[in-house]
Amino acid sequence: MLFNSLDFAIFLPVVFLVYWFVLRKSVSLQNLFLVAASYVFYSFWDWRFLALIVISTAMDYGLGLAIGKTDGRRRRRALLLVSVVVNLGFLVFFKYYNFFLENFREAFTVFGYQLNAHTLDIILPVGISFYTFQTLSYTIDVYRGQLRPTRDFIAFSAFVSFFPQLAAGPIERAGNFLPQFLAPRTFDYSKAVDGARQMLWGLFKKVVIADNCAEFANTIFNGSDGYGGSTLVLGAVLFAFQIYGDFSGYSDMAIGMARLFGFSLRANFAFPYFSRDIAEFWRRWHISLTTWFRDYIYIPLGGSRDGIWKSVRNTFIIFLVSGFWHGANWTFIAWGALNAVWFMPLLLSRRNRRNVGTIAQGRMLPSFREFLSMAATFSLTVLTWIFFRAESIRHAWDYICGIFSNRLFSMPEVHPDKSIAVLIALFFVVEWIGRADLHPLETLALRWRRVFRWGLYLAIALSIFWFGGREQEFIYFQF
Amino acid sequence: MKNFILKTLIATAIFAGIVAGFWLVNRWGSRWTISPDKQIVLLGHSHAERAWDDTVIPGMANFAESGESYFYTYPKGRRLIDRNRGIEIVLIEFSNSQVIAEIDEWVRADDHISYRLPVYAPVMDWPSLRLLFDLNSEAVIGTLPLVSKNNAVMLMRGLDYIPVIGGFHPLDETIDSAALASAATAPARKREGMATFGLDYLDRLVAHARSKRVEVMFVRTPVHRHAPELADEELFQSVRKARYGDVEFLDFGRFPLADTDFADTGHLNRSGATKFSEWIASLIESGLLEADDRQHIIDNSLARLSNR
Repeated sequence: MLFNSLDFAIFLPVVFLVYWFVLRKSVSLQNLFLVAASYVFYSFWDWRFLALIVISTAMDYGLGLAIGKTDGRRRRRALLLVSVVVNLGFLVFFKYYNFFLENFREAFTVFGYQLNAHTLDIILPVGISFYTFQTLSYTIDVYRGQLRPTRDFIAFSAFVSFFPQLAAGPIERAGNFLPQFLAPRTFDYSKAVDGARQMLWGLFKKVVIADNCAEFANTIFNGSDGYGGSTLVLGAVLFAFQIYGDFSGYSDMAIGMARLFGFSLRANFAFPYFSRDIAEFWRRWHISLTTWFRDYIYIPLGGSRDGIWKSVRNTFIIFLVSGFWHGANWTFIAWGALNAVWFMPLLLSRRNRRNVGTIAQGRMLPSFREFLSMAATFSLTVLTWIFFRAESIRHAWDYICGIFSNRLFSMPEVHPDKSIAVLIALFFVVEWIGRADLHPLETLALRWRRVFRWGLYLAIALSIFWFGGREQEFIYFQF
Repeated sequence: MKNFILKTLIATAIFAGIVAGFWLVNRWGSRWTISPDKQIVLLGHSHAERAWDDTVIPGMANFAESGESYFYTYPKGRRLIDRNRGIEIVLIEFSNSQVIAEIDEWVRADDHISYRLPVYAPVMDWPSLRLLFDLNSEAVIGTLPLVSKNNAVMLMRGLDYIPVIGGFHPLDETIDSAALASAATAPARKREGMATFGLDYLDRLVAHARSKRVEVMFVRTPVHRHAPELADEELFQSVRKARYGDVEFLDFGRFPLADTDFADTGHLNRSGATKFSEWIASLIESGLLEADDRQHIIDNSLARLSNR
């Protein structure tokens, strides 16, 4: 069930009304209902894969309790290892089995051996990369003693399967999210209104920006051999808008929706295309995954504590793992490696935390220097996205060569119509105005007279209705 | 919470009100007025759209459109007749391809719904909308945003529907010899079954025109002698005689044209359209439409052309 579907337009109000009107006096019943609703939501894709969620939930619940009761370090570590192996085992099997097999087979062929193993026709369960990391964070935090294991199985199940963020995050930490399922929840009008505004903006990003850009980006990437340089540049830029609108739009809807149910999810995007360097970009893009890798891989590996070269090594590891997390293809690994390369000059010159605050804070426009930094960072990001979007390394390389081969300064052969171009421009203006907030509509128009404020919301809603592109699945569902 | 739900409902109602308002304005306030010197209206699909040059044919307005089923032609024709009292004759392209069962896809296929419904939804009656919903609810629901967007666009264009409901659009290409050779050697494939929805709506269009005292004639535009649809001649004639025996049928299908006058086996190109339209114009100017034995006049003229 997609957030931008008619099914969901019926599903959400029903769940909301039952949750607040029928079950508001009992946290346990609310949690139970959320679990049921989440499983129904997930079943719209494929009910068979619910078993994976249930197994992960039951196992990590049990292991969490066992780790909490156990004092012996070796036994605690063994229990954690079970959680890691089983969770990552599912992930590896469903996501990477064919990739490893094909690469092993090719490697054996190079040395003159034939590996008689066949790839399997495996369907990737939606959201597996997200809920696996979420539930893993629980057992790791319990193991580290940072979190007391919960005895409430229903609350834990709701934490793992909470439908707004089940399919594509944000990846929540048990320390932040699980306690919210244990405490009584009251309806907060201002939070709910803000959540609705965030959902509206998220839907706009997904349906108007991402889906419209997708049509042209797909056309250009799928036929990249025949297009000139300017068209290929436009294709890469449109893909950058697409993936941002798609993923951050989903996150906005998830966060806004969670607020309707009385939950607070952590921010997942903080206007990354206004970043002044790659380090800042990675503090603003897919924050929940980046910080997950930081806390559970980068820091345990030593982080930046043991000298610059270990820091370089750890940074590369993080980016490569991040790339691999996105998919079983060398293109994602190349994408991660390129990001690490762009990161290196900042790390080696110890300037990776130079740009921490909001760009042009308190000013309407950026300085010329800020603008150049932003443009350069965006250009590097767009170049890197080519690897992310391409079907293969060869495709990405040919695409980049195509950009510089010919017709770089001619008019693009394929481009969105004027109305879509205007909406993309307006989208950037609104994002720029709201760049210091959690989402652009958090404070925008709040001081306007009600009629104008509602007019803005209606204009956004009508834009969604009228200019929505062809319905496309969320990109991050494949991860 | 009640305040939140109330405001959400109000916002939803305002949104729905705007969307419905645009639709109603298009339904009731749209302009379908054609020039008073046009007493003949031509409806149909691409055969007619590509062949009948209404800048050459006196008193005629061509509103045929490619891929349009009679299901969608009906609300267009009905509205044109209702809003233009000067229309005396409605010519409806009636050819082999329009009687076969396959043509019902032109009613219910996703791409036809998403293309036609935005334009015709405001003037369609409820039973037709209901039928379309029953045939393909997913496509109808998916097209609602396009319908609403088109309503807004038409409002900005002054609600003038005349430029968007068809017209003479010539083709500039010429069929190549390879395509002709391929068509010539292709085995004739008779198609089974008769159209249902399309013909039902043709019935309704004929009935409505007659109720408004507008004369209805079916016309058949020439196609190439190797056109695959000619294999359905038997079915076509049986439907025509059994179901539309009371509607005058003017068959222009044998108008002599060279291979270079066709864009493909089903459609005339610009050159063919010019020759055909000039001939039609001469027939009309010599009183074809006022005569009693119209097909006889056409056949005589065709015989003279063939003897040249």
